[in-house]
Amino acid sequence: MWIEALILSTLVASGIVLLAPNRYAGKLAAALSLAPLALSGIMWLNYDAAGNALLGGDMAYETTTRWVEFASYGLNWHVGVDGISMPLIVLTTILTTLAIVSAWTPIDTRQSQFYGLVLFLQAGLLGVFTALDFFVWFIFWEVVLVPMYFLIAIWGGPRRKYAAIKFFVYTNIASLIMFVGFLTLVFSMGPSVRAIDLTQVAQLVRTPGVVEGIAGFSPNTVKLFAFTLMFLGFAVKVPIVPFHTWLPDAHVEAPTPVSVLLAGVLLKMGTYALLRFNFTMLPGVVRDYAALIAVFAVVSVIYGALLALAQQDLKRIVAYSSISSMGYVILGLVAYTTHGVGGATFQMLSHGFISGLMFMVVGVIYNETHTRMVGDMSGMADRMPWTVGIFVAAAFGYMGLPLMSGFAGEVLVFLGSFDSTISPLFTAVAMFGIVIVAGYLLWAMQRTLFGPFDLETEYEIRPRPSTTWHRWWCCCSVWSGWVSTLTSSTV
Amino acid sequence: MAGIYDLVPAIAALPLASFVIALFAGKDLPKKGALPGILATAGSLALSLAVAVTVFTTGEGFNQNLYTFVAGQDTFSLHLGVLIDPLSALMLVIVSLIATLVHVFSLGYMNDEGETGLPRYYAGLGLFTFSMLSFVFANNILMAFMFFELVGLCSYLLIGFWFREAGPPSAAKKAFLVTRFGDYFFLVGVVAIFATFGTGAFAGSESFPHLAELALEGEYDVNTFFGLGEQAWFTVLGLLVLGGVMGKSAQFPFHTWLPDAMEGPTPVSALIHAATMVAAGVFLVARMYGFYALSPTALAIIALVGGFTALFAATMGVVKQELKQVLAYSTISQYGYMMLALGSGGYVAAVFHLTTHAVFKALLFLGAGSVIIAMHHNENMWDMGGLKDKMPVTYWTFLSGSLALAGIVPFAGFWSKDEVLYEALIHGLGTEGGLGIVLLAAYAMGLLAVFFTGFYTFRMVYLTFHGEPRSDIARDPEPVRWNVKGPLAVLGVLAATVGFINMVPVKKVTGLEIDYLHQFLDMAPEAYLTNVHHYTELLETDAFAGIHAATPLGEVGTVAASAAVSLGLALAGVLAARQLYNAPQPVEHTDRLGRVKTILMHNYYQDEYQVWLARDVTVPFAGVLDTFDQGIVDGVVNGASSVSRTAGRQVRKLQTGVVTNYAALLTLGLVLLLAAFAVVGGWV
Repeated sequence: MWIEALILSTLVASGIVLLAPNRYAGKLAAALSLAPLALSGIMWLNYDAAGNALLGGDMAYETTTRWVEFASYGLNWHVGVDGISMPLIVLTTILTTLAIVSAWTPIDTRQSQFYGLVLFLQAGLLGVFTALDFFVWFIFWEVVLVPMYFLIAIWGGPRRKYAAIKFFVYTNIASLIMFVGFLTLVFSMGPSVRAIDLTQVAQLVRTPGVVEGIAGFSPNTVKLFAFTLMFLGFAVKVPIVPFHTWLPDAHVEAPTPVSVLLAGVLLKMGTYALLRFNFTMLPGVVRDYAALIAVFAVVSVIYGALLALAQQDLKRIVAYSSISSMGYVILGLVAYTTHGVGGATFQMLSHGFISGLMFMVVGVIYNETHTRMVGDMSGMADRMPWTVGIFVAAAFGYMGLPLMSGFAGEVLVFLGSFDSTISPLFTAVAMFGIVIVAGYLLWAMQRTLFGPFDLETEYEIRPRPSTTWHRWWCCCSVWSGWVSTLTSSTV
Repeated sequence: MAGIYDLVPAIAALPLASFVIALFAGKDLPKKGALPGILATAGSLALSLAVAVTVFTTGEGFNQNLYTFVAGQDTFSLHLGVLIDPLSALMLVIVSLIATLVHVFSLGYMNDEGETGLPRYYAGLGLFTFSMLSFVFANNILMAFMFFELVGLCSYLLIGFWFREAGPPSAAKKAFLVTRFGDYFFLVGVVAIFATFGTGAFAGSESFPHLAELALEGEYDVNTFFGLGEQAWFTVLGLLVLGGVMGKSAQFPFHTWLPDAMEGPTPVSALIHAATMVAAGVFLVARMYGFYALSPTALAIIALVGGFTALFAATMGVVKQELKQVLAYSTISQYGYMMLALGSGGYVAAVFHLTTHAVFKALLFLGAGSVIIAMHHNENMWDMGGLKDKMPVTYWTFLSGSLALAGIVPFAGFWSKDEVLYEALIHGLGTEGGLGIVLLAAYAMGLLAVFFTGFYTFRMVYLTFHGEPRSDIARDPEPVRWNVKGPLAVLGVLAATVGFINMVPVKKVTGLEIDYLHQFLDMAPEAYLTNVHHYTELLETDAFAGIHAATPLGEVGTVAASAAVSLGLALAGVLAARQLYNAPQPVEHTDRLGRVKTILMHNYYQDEYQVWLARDVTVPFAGVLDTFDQGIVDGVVNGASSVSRTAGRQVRKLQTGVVTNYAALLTLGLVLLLAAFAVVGGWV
C-alpha cells in the first residue's frame, strides 16, 4: 500500500493547495510535499529489490488488483518498484520539493493554482514510474502532459503559448504512435495474452514463437514495426535528435521551477520507458539495429553539445546540453551490458540532479538581473559569490568531473559500451562530448561570471543580497548538489 | 614495520581536511586558512617521508584496493586503491615538500600583500594537494584519471583566482580546455584498456602492463579492436593515454596553456605549473612504463615529442621579457627532457630529472615571486636590474636554481640532464633501425636546447639582478620577510645538492656504487613488476621495444664525452648571456634577430591557430548547425503543423452554414454515388 499512499498523498496535497489562498500556497505546498518525500525516503530505506523487474528481478511494494474486465483482456491495478524505478521515484520527490521552494520568489500570480498543478504533476510522474499495467501506466503517462501544459502556458515567458502547444501536441502525437506500437505487439501474440500487464507481456514477448505474424507480415517484421513505433514515441520524450525541437522552446518559456522538473524528471520518462519497453521486451531488435540506435545516441550527444555552443541564452545552453547528456543514456542502454545499463540508469539520476541545480542557479541570476543572455552581464562573481560558486560546481558536475555524479554515470556508460555489440568507435566519438561541454560551459562562465562587473539591464544588484529567499536558494541548491554527490557512492 | 602503509590515505586526507576548513571557516581563522594548510601539508610530508624510509629500509611496498565503488557482476569492478613503491613514495615526498613550502611562501606572497579571497585560495591549494597526492598513489589507471582531472580543476580555480580581471579567467579556461582535450584521449585510452584487459591495475601479475607483456608472448588472450594486432593495438592504447600526458605536461602541441597559466598567483605557478601538476603527465608514463616499454613506436613518439619540445620551448624562452614567461617556457622545455628520457629507455634518468626539476623550478618560481613582491607586481625584466645587492637571499638562492636549470656542475640539474642526454645517446647509438635514428634525432634536439637553456637562464639572471636598477621600484624594492626567505633557503640548498643522489658519471669513472636513486627505484618488490631491472629487461627484448645501448668510447669514455659536451654547451650559453647582458645598462640584443624574433615573440603562432580553431572554426560551425536546427529540423515540425492547419482551414470552407450549399453538395454526392454504382454494376 506504500505506492498508493505515495500517489494519494500527492493528489490530496494537490487538492488542498488548489483551494488554499495564494498567500500561503507556496509554504503549504512545500510542507505537504514533505509527505511524499518522507514516504519515498522510507521506501528507499526499506527497499530490498534489485534489478529489472521485467527480467525477473525482485519487486518491492507490489500490489495487484483486478480493476476492469474488458472483452478478453483484464485491466489490473498493478504497481511496484524495482531497481530502475526506485531511484527515479526518490529523484521525483526530492526535485518536486526543491522546485516548489525555488518557486517562492519568481511565481507571484495565481500561486495556489501553480503549486496545485506542480503537485498534480508529481502524482502523474510517480504513477508513471510505479505502474506496471500498461493501461494504468498510459493514463499516468498522459496525465503528466496536462499540468505541464498549463504550467508553461500560464506562468511562462513571452512565447509561452507557442511553447506550450508545441510541447503538448508534439509529445501527445508521440504518445499515440507509441500506443499503436505497443498494441500491435500485444495483439500479435493472439490469445496467449490475457492482460496487458507489463511483466507478463515482457515475459511472453521474450519467449520465442509467441509473437505471430499479422496480415501476412512475419513475426520479425511485426516486432520491428512495434519497436520502431515505440522508439519514435519515446524518442520525442527523451528527446533524441532530430525529435528534440520542442525542448529548447519549452525550457526557455517555462518558469525556472518548471524547467527544473522538465529537465530533471520529465526527460527521464522517455529513457525509463525505452528501457522498460523497447530494450527489455525486444532485445532481439535492439541487437539487430544496435548500430542504428547508437548513431542516434552519438548524434544527440555531439549535435546537442554543438548547438549548446551556439547559444547565448543560459537556459538554452542548459537545455541543449540536456539533449547531449541524454544521448549518453541511450548509448549505455543500447550497449546493453551490465555497466552500460547501470551507467545509463545512474546517468538519468545524476543528470536529474545536476540539470535541476543548473536551472535553479540560472533562475537565481535571472531573478536578480532579469536577463539570461550571455552578452548582457559579466563579472557576476563579484556581486553574487555564493551563487556563482554553486554555478561553477554545477557546471563542473555537468562536465563530468570525477568524484561528482556526472562522471560516475558517464564513465560507466563508456566502459559498458566500448566492448559491446556496437562498434567502439561510437563510444570514442560520443566521448568527445566531454570536450565540447567543457568548451561551452567554461566559455559562458568566463563571459558572465568573471571579469569586471557589468550589467546591461537596469537592475541594481547589491553586493551582498542576503534576503531570505536568497539563502533558501543557496540552501536548496547546495542540498541537491550534495545529494548528487552522495548518490554517486551508491553505484 | 609496514603499519605505516595503513596511513597512506591520510597523506591525501590531511590536505582534504584543510580544504574543507579553509573553505568553510577560513574567513574566521587568523591567517585565513593558511595555518591548517601548512599543518596538513607538513603532516603529509612527515608521513610521506616515513613511507619513503620504510620502502627504502624494508624494500617492501603496498598495493591494495581500498574501496570498490562499482562492483561488476560478470564483469570488471572499479576500485580506489593505494600503490606504494619507490616511484610513488619518492613522488609523495616531492609533492608534499613543495606543497608545504608553497603554503609557507603564500603567507608572504598573499597574506602580507593584503589579498582578498584568501580562504578560496587556501581551499584551492588544499584541494590541489589532496588530488595530486591521490593521483600519485593511485593503484589503477581509472583512479589516476579521476585525480588527474581533479588536479586540472584546481589548476582552473587557482589560475582564475583573480577573477575580477579579464586575463585570469580566460587563461584558466584555456588551461582547462587544452588539458581536457588531452584528457579526452586519455579517457578513451582508459576505457579501451579496461575493455582490452578487464583491469586497470598498474602493478602486479594481474596488472595491465603485465597482461600486455604476456599477450605479446602469446601466453594470454586479450580483446583487440578494429582488427589490429596486439602490438599495434597496445601502441594505440599507449598513444591514447599519451594524449593526456602531453596535455598536462604541456608538450607540443598542447603546451600553449602553460605560459598563459602564469596569470595565476606565483606560488600557484611554483606548485602547480612547475613542480607538481605538470609533472603528473610524465609521472603517469613512468608509472605505467612497463606498458610503454612494449611498444617501440610509442617510445619513438615520446622521445621525438620530448626532444622537439625541449628545443622548441627553449628558443621561445630566449626572447621573453617577463620573468615568469621565461620560467614558463623553461618548464615546458624541461618536461621535454623528461619525455626524451622516457622515450629513449632512460626510466631512472626521467625520474631523476623529475625530482631535481621539481626542486629547482619551484625554487626559481618562488624566487621570481620574491622579486615580484619586491617589484610591486611588475614582472618585466627590463624594469629590474641591480636587485642583487638589495635582496641577497633571493639572489643567491635564485642563482643556485639558475645554475641547476642551466645544467652547470655540480648543481642538481647538471646530473639529471646529463643522464637524460647520456641515455638518449647510448640508446640511440645502440638501437637498430628507425627507433635508433629517431632517438639520435631527439638527442640532437635535446643537446642543442642545452645551449639555449644556459643562455635564457642567465639572460634572466643578469637582467633581473645585475647591472644598474632601471626603474624607481628597482632602486627601492619592497623587502620580503622570513616566510619568503625560508622556503627559498631550503630549496636553494636542495637545488645545489639533490643531484648527488644519482651521480652516474662519477660512478662510472670511480666505480663507487653511488647511484642511490637507481638503487632505490630498483627496490620495488619483484611481484609488482615496476622495478628498474624488469623495465630494462622489457626494453632490451627485441619482441618489445628492442632498445640496446652502445658505448663506442667505452663506458667511461662515453659518459665523460657526453658530460663534457653538454656541460660545454651549457657553459657556452651562460657565457654568451654574460657577454651580452652583464652590463650596467644592457640592451636587447635579441632585436637583431629581426623577423625571427617576431615569430618567437608570437610563440610560432601556436596560440593563434588554436584560438582560430576554437573561435573561428568550431563556434561558427556550431552557429551553422543552430541555423540548420532552427530552420530545417524545427522547420519540418512547424511545417507539419502548418500543413494540418492549412488543410483544416481549406476543409473548413465547406462548412459555410448556408443550407442551399449543403443541399447542392448532397445532390452532387448522390449523383456521384449513383454514377459510381452504375459503372461498378455494369449498367452502362
